[in-house]
Amino acid sequence: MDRRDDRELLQAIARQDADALVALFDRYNRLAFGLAYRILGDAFVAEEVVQDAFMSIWRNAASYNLSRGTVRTWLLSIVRNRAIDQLRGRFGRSQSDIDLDTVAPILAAPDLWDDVLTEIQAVDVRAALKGLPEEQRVAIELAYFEGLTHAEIAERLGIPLGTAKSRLRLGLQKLHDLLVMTQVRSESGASDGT
Amino acid sequence: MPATVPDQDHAHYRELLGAYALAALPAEERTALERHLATCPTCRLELRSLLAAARALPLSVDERIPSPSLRERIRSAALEERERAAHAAEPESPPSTSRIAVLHERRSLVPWLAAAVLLLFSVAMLVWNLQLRQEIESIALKPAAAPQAHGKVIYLREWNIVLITVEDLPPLQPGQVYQVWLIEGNQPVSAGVFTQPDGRFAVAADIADYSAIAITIEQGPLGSPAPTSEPIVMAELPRQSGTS
Ligand SMILES: [Zn+2]
Repeated sequence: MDRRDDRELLQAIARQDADALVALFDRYNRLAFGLAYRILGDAFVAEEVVQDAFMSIWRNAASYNLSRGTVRTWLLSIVRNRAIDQLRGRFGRSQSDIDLDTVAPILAAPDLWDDVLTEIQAVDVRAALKGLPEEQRVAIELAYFEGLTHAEIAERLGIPLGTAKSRLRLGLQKLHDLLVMTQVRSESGASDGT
Repeated sequence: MPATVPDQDHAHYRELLGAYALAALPAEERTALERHLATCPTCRLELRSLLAAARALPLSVDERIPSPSLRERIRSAALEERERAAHAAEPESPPSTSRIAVLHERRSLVPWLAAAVLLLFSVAMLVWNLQLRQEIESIALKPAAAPQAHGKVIYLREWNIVLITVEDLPPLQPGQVYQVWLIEGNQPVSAGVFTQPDGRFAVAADIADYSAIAITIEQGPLGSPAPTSEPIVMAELPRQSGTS
């Protein structure tokens, strides 16, 4: 196991240290592949997407900055965007990659909650998703895992566009609040060591 | 909220924030919202928490183990790209495409078609129609770096579809792919990758824009941005203008 933390690995990757790239792969390949597979349902294409995402990090590590979130967040958003591009037959540079770059300066410095987020566990996210009203969770998952636009979600679910928009927004708000609560609980509660 | 932002605008854009955080907004709305965000701290603040929630979503998936070879594939792709970047830094002209041999064999392929088009029934129908109208062009892919390798290119001009068949390509090393290039001047453009040494596949492209087609062996799974080895087969494409 490489003992460097994610940011140190990324700095080494920016210096074109291939061992650092492989160390990052060792850390996140199951999550990255799990995400690509969840979106694509095809192991072969999902592996292509994962490789493509790591190569994108290999090329762009030097351009990483904190407003992209953690290194893990950055990697997973690349995987997600590439997988959606594959799913929806869009090729070339991902539209969503550009989005992230555009959003970054607008959001400025990461807030405290982002630091809390770095510790967040899969089990907490799953529990928080379960805590959402069903229709909000469905709308969010259609956007995130199937890459549908708000209009496509409205059409798929047979609901007005305005309803689709607010399900996405209220759902994310609720998800945010639930996640913060689990973090606050786990920080203040007795740690069981796992 | 600044006085320059009318309340109704704010209410409108605020409703879009969830879709924006999930990349579910069409481009025009996205641009408009970004203009609003630049002037509206209230929306920026809300977006921050929505985006944080959206960023947690990938953690909800079940982890999955990819094939064991993926790790080394990524390592060698990275090393190769580093190597290539080092070479590209040297002031050297790229290899010319003059090795691309010429072989026109236009309109002589009909018996072969039946096999070639099995890959797609709809293409088969299309070819059948075209065949009657004698609008198909077939070009032989000539062996270059690989003496046994051969193949054909069929261009369905009206549909901008290129059918490619190859046989007896040299075997790939683990992690490698065959990559198809369309070439204009010294500029190769990737047209896709495949891995079977005997294969048939279709590429959507207007080859009238290109002067040659070539296949090289590249690092997989996605191939290279530019060819890194000599073509194993290649063909010059007929100029479309003035020919028919
Ligand atoms: Zn606003």
